[in-house]
Amino acid sequence: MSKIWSFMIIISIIIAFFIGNPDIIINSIMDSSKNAIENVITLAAMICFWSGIFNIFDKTSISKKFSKIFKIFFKKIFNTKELSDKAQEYMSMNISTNIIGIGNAATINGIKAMEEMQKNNKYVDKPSDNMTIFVLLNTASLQLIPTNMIAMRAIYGSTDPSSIVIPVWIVTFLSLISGIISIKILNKKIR
Amino acid sequence: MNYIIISIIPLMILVILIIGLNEKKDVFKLFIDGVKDGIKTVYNIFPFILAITVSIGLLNSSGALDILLIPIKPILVKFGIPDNIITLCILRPLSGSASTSVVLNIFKESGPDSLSGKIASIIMGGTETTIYCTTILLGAVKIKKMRGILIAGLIADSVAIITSIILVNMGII
Repeated sequence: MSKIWSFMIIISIIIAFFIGNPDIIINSIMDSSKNAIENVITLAAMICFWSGIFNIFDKTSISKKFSKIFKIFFKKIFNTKELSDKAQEYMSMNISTNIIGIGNAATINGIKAMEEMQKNNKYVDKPSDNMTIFVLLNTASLQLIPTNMIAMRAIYGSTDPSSIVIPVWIVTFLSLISGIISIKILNKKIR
Repeated sequence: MNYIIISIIPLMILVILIIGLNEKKDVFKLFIDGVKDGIKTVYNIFPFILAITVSIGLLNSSGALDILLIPIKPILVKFGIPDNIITLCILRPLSGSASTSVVLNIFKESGPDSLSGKIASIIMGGTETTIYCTTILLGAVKIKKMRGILIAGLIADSVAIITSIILVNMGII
């Protein structure tokens, strides 16, 4: 992370000097910091709301039953021996909210799942195998109906805005499979 | 169909509340506790959001992104990939808002039902902001090493992009 992050900043500053307007750097920093604050405020509102709702769900007996639905699926791609029940509960809530398309609820449940998994993690500074697979699942778009995209297509006058749904499923499925295969191979190579 | 889609989320809130009340839980207190947790989470992930937004903003506005793309673009254009799709592919894993604005430009210029409009829609629907997501999830547990996540995520994204282009060129939609 350190390397990528500093590379992005260093290359930007050097190129800005070459092009001849170094003042763009400070303007850009101010703009994007402001953006980050604005984004985090909207994000905070929704994350807090969903965190509240899912805390209720979490304390009911249904959440345990709910995570059982996902057990078979988890066994296929995770090492379930290292996954606590609590972690599996948060993971199943994360995946189901992702599928419905409540990104903010998925974020909060995903973070809680990561915190639970971190408790069983042998290393402090490296993600465990299960954590890498879980993060990868979150970087794939599990959302069943790409509602935002359909809405935008409709606004810009598409004759059939929802025609993208099935291609999106094919794309998601193939990219998910290739992602999981790659992370499983990479997990053995990069310790 | 649309009605069902927009009903799922409100129904879910309703069901959660009813289950909670049914099990005689102090639903209000649980909600408040959850919100407190949420605030802590936001506090923990904010530095990561700021770090990633600033670095992406710099890359974009300094022109570094365009310069980095100069050697790659002609090769990809030869394969029949529209110019603006290439920019989208680079921005998509980094930032949701930046990639959305590229897509809206494509829609404005050539319409959502054009070749590049369709490719862009499918790429946006079938992928996530890989780098942003990874940063937040790992940042929340204060892990800085990524092992293979980034490479695997980018492989998955490339597969998504390639299949989108193939599907549209085959005339599936």
